[in-house]
Amino acid sequence: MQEPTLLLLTALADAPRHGYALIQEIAAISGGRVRMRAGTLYGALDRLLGQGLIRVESEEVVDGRARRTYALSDSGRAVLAAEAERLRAVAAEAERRLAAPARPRLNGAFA
Amino acid sequence: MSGRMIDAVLRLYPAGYRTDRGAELADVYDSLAAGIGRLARARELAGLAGHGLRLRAGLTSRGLPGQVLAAAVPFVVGAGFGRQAGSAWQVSPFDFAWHGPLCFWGVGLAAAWALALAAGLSGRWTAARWTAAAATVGGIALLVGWSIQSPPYQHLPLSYYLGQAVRAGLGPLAWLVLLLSAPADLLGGRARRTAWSALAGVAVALLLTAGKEVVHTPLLWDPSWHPYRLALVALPLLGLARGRIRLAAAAVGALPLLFDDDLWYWIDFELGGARRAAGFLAFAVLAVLAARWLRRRGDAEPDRPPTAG
Repeated sequence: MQEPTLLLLTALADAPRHGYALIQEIAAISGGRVRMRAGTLYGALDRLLGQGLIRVESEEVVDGRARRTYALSDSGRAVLAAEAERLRAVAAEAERRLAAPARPRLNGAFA
Repeated sequence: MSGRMIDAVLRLYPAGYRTDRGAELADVYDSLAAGIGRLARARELAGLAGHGLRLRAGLTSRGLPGQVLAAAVPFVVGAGFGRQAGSAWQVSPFDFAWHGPLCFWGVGLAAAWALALAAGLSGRWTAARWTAAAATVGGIALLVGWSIQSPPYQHLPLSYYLGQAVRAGLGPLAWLVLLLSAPADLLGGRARRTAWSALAGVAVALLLTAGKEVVHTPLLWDPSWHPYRLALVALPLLGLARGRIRLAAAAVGALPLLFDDDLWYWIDFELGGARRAAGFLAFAVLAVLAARWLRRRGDAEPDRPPTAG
């Protein structure tokens, strides 16, 4: 899964959000490292809507302009959970290996 | 001023999409623009314009063509570096000049491609894409500049050299279009896959540039092989037909490398008028069939955004 997709699904995991809030949330989740542009965000939103991973939760009019709120669908939640589990397994393995005492290199084994 | 700019950008979107999402996009842009500087606002507008143009061209990340372009970016970044580095062995002035006074610029371009490759291999594909695009523009400028300023055969008219430069620039131009049109939300992916794709690009480009000087095997460079080179144009379609997006992406990224000045010389002077015309007709038919096939698969971009939920 590409990082923008992972961040976007993560930003929707706890609450439905509209476009601008999603950009802010993604910046917060990534510690300011990822600053998603509006064009990239809507490209990803269109794709995820088409794949059924997110849905339009509600539409409201704010200051005379339409504003949609997006939410994670059931299948989006399942995909995010699977990706989180995969990342957790990799992180756990990395921590286990880091914690283990370093094995000496076998030099001249055939000497 | 800002309102007029976003209105102008939204006119780039398909009418249906603009009706459905225009106000929402303008609202998000206004919220963003309130807290950022002029340069950042320009980049936001450029990003929104890019999304609109991709929608019109059917190249967003929803469709197969956009997915292939995004998957091709690592290969192109690698191939650009490989070509620039490999051209150290080239003697043709139309393959990014490394000789004489322009050697300095050739080294600079190689350094730019190396930076793009390093950015990509460290996972920063957006930076890699823009650096590679800048290096491609620099390469085209160098090519045109060289053709105008120092034609090697003084008895031929300037139009001849410009024509050669345009042909030699078609490959880099195709790469530039590919780099800029790839949807940003699909760049990157699994680190190992993208790294292998980039390294494959380096290897293929080195083989096709430096390889023909170093390895004296007639493989792809012998004129008798040129028809088969042209047949490789069908490889991306074969990849897509079999659902192999990465194969199709690598083939798309490699195609510009195949159209070097050897091939153009063969098309111009050895192929013959009737066969040349038949070849161009076959290309046109292939392109139309490919477009119709992609449309039938349902990968064409709908006029309106999806409304799931």
